[in-house]
Amino acid sequence: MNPRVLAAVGATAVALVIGASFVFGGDSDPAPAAANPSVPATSSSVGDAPAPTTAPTPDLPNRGPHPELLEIDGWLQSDVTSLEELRGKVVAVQFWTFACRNCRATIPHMQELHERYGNQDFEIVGIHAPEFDYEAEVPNIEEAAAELGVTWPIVLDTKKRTFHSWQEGPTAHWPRIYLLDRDGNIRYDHIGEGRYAETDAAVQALLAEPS
Amino acid sequence: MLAAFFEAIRATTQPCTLLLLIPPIVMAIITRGRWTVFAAICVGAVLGGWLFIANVVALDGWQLQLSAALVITAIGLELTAPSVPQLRRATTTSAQAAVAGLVAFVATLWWRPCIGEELGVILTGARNGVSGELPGMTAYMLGAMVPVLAVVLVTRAIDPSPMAARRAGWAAGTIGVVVAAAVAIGRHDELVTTLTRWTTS
Repeated sequence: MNPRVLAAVGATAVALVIGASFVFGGDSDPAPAAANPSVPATSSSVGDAPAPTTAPTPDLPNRGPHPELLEIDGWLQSDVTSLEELRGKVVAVQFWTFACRNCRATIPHMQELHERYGNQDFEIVGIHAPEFDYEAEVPNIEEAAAELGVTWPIVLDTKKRTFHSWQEGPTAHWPRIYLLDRDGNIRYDHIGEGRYAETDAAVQALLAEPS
Repeated sequence: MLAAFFEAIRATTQPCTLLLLIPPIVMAIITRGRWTVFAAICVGAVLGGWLFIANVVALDGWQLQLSAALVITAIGLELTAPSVPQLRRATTTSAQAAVAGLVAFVATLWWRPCIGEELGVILTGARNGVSGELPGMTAYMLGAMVPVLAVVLVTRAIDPSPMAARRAGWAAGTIGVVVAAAVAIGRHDELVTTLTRWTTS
């Protein structure tokens, strides 16, 4: 066959593969509510969310006490001003920044956790570590939080000292979630989107542990 | 592994892959879609991906500038070699492959990925041992190189005249140099920022 025709056929095949990856390659463990990050989740959409998917409880090894919050620029939407004030609660600490597409995709799941366990000694703390300059401006963070339906406390980590000190190695990632037990020890850690059912099971297991 | 492959393909439409993809695409265009070059690009990207999940290197400051200078030199070499007798050796397929592989490797060090579920699982798993995540990361990086494959195939299908190929090479090379220069002076964030704002607004 003519090499040019072959290449054209190959290019078409690649285009089809790329298209197929979008059509058939959805998340295997999608966030069920308000999946479109541009649409704020209402409390009813979160409240109507299905019960958590059953997932085996992951290993929850004790990785020791959480690191300090370093050189933060304050808290938003919060009555507390330190993680120590949340001792006795299971705390989900999520590193995020509002323009990060993958971070936004996790927000509906975080809303579900907040809705489902918020009255059971459970708290979410979002540590906002901006990637770009405009993400560091507080009015932009507040606007994005309102738009996305982020109602839990936000720590402003503008200099990203906390972002880097919590994460091992020279490269740190968004989004990343840590679950702290009632004593402030890191018990669960996941990078990126997904594993929502597993995270949910981990929260349930940590809440079930004696105080 | 297939899920990682497809997630990487989907990620290539996001601005966060810009710095990962532009340098190898530029090299693929300059070298007129040679298969050996494409293979070397894949090897460079996979090796870079392995280094990425090992989480032992993050370029900063002068290291970024040095890496950008390397990429600019590579692009300049491949663009000018055909017309400079002393540089003709750089136009052999093996030399082009070596240079393109190196450029693809460097580009992975510039990359700050969008972390979807599959890449997240790979990165999370790599904390407990990189070796177990190498197959998944290989699949991911090969998926990320699918747009480069598309460029190779389109280039071969069009099979442009030498003059048109040279013009395309210079145009692509200019874009590559601009991106590398932006990295060198620490302004590449602005490029990615603008694209990110467009796609998330």
